[in-house]
Amino acid sequence: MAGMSAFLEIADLNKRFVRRRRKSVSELHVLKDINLEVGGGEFVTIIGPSGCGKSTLLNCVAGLEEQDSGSICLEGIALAGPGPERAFIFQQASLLPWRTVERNVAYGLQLRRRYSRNEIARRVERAIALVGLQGFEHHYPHELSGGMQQRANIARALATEPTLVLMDEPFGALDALTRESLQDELSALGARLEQTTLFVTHDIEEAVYLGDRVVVMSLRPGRIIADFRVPLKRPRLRSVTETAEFRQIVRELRLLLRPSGDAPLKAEVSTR
Amino acid sequence: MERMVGSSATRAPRSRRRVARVREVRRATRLLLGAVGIIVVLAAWEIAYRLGVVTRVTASSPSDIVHSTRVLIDYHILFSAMWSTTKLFLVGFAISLGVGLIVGLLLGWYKVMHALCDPWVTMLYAAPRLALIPLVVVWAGIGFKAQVVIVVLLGLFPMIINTMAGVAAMDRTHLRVARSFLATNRDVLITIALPGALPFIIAGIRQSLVLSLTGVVVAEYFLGATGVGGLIFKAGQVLETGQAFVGVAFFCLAAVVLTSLLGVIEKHFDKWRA
Repeated sequence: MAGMSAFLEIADLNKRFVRRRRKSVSELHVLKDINLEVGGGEFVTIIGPSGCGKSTLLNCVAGLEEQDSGSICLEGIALAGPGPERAFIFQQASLLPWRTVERNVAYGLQLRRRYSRNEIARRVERAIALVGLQGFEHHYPHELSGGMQQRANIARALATEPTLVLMDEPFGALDALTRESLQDELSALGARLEQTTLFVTHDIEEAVYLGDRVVVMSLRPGRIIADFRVPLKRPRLRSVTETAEFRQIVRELRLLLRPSGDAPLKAEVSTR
Repeated sequence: MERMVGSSATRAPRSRRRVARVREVRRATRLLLGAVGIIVVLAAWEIAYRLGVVTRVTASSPSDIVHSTRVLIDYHILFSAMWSTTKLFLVGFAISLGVGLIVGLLLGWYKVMHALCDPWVTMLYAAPRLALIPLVVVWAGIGFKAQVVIVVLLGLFPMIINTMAGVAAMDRTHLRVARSFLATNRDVLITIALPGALPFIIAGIRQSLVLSLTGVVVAEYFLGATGVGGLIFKAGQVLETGQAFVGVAFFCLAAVVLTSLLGVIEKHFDKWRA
């Protein structure tokens, strides 16, 4: 721990959910001894089966949930609650339906109460251009496709110019084609922007395609069982997903997530 | 790929415009048919009167109503009655909206307050509140003040109930978004809860409007026989059916004008809904 500290440092993080039923009190150990260091500018994807606590981990980093023990430090400073240097991108359409795209993207900036109207307009315009939504500034969310809604969602987060972006399965609800095109754009965007990203997904190929690193989590209690560095060069194009190298990484990850191959998903619970 | 998304989206507004035009034509046809319906009934009424099927006392007639209107204007009765009624409505309705909005917001926002007040609000909302008229007379007499109390008694509760439901129905995801951007409680109320509750609030205004009008009529009947309501009441007692219908027509027109005005406002705030 001495010397250079990582940009984001998660140490011995534990989180339990207590569930009270009529007679019994059951405790769910969601996150167990999570240790993770992320360097500045890294794009880290976190992958694991449904219910492994990866979203909870992200929520803790975002400050939307509190851990039971352990610490999360950003540039050496312990985090408590949400902060302006972090931005969260939610899974479903979380745009405010009564605001146009433009006013949705401005939302985070308006809540800061630090920026002039002009400054907000300038940043909003830039963020909208970044995600390619020019011409749709005055559309309401219901007038946009799912993919475009998610672009607006990303723009809203980027407009606040965070140093750490947290994405919780942002493309999970999209159809396959839209998802691929947004992955391509995010990959291109990542090359242009400097921020650090934590990206939660349950899609192995997405994790490998987007991540500098892939962190693998196990089912309850959620622990980190592997931490891969993806050796593929950037910028990555879609064609990289057809290379033998890419397939090999995907295969290894799949084995890790589903050790018994094609056996039903439940089998992996017993092999942790 | 951006180009592809762009082109599919520019196609959308054009077809939407065509749909809008078709809708406009249908709307015009509907309005025309509605007017025809009204004219047919009025004509049948007049004919029945001319043929002696109904008399001036039992049912009056459209021409008699026009005549009665002229009489009421000549005797300087109509406009002062209308003004008195309008004043009562505006004061009562404004109080219902203002108080209902504030109380509804408080009850929707603070869980403890909601739990505390819910039995009363629910009970008074469902109860036939006009049963309280004799008590209102005991408390406030039979003047303007008492009349306002009756109007508010009717108009207030739908406003409270709807606003409360709208605030309480706040989307959890939106709340999380606001929190992730460091929203204060006040920010959440103003940027998330209130706009989200707006459709509910407008529904509340609509119900409150209709009930406030009813309240005005009832208050004027029973507390002093003032305004247009009093005019109807008194005309009925002396069998001036035509004059009574003048008053009824006034309330009908007022209701139509006010609800369509609200429809325009609603449309303005409803742009964001699919």
